[in-house]
Amino acid sequence: MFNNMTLSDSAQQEGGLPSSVLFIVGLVVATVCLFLAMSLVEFQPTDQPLVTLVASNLEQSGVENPVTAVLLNFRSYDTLLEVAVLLIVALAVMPSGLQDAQQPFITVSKPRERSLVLEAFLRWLLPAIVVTSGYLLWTGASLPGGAFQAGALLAGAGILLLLAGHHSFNFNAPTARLLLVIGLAMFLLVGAGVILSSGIALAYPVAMSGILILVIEVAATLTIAAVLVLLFCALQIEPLGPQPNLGDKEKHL
Amino acid sequence: MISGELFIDLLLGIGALVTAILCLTAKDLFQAILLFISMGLLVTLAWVRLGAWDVAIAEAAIGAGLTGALLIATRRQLNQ
Amino acid sequence: MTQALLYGVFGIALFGIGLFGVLAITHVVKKILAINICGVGVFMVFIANASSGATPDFVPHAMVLTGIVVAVAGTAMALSLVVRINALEKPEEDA
Repeated sequence: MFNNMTLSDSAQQEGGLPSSVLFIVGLVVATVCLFLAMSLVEFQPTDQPLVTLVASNLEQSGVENPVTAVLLNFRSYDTLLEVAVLLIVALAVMPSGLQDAQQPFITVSKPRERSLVLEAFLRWLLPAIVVTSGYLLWTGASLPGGAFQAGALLAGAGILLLLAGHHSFNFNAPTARLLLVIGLAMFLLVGAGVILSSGIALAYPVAMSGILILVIEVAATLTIAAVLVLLFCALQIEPLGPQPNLGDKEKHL
Repeated sequence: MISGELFIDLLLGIGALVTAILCLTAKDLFQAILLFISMGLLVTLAWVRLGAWDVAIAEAAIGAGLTGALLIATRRQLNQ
Repeated sequence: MTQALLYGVFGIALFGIGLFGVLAITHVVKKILAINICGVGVFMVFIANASSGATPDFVPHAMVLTGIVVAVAGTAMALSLVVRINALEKPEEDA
């Protein structure tokens, strides 16, 4: 079932597997789904204790948006570990090449082919995206929005910038490395720092919680955006920007 | 008689199911990617119907936008 | 049939479609797409159950939000592996 995988686009004929196997697999999957649906119909939640818990503790969380409160205060371990997962994925796909560490984070160059429409459009779009992202981050305290959405928008801006071809990112630069770890570092720093006042890791003092959450969110936004752009860059084996020599590249693969 | 809200819910749910099936049965990879992005946008509307605004924003930006960009970049590399 | 139950059943159906795709499809990128469809189905069951009460339950919302970001990170890692494997399997002349 997992032995004959293919990458070719044309040879995709639904039946790499014999149809009898497909039939049995379909039958099993359908049965599982049927049982799942039956148990879902029978499942009648009588009361939801979490709803009242979140609502009654929202005052102390420092933010008014319950989702942000859950993400960054009530269940902040989840978010901490999630930022850690992002960092691990970033390390896994990071382009190797220590000699690039001296290069600046962003290099500007003449693209091989210019797309005038995209360039002119981006001149208007990019500032708007950055402002919107900042707005989403700020408004996340009281309305839908927050670090994830803001980070994703920023990453979108970065990918558009890459596609225009004038800029290329070097994720081995010190600035880029700082961006990649600042989310986790700030989270851990604040989480450990509040031990001094409250005695428990990640339990923010009530008076300070709003500002601490905002600090963490700003750092997390930067990290999420940087990691997502890095993930996009990692898919370009031949970078969109200038590429010095091919001999080096093959060694790193 | 189906009420308007139930009609919209059914439309979104069945639309997501149909685009998912079409996505997995499409012969062309590019078609499959576009259908996957469409499914993400339909599901975004479903989140809005269910009152999950934060999730809707994240899904629109990440699930539909970024994943689509990643998939299309992959396809370009595979076709080279 | 309430709205929560309706979306719950749709979520399970999406999960089933994705699961079948993961097992039956041979094209690797489409397998990744199928895993993502599976994930969307799971998220839908979560959110549908969260909305069954008078006020929505925000804890599953936060968990799904985390899940979406982790899912895209996993997808990107799988895709980059696909691209690397493809580059290694390709004959050398067009490097």
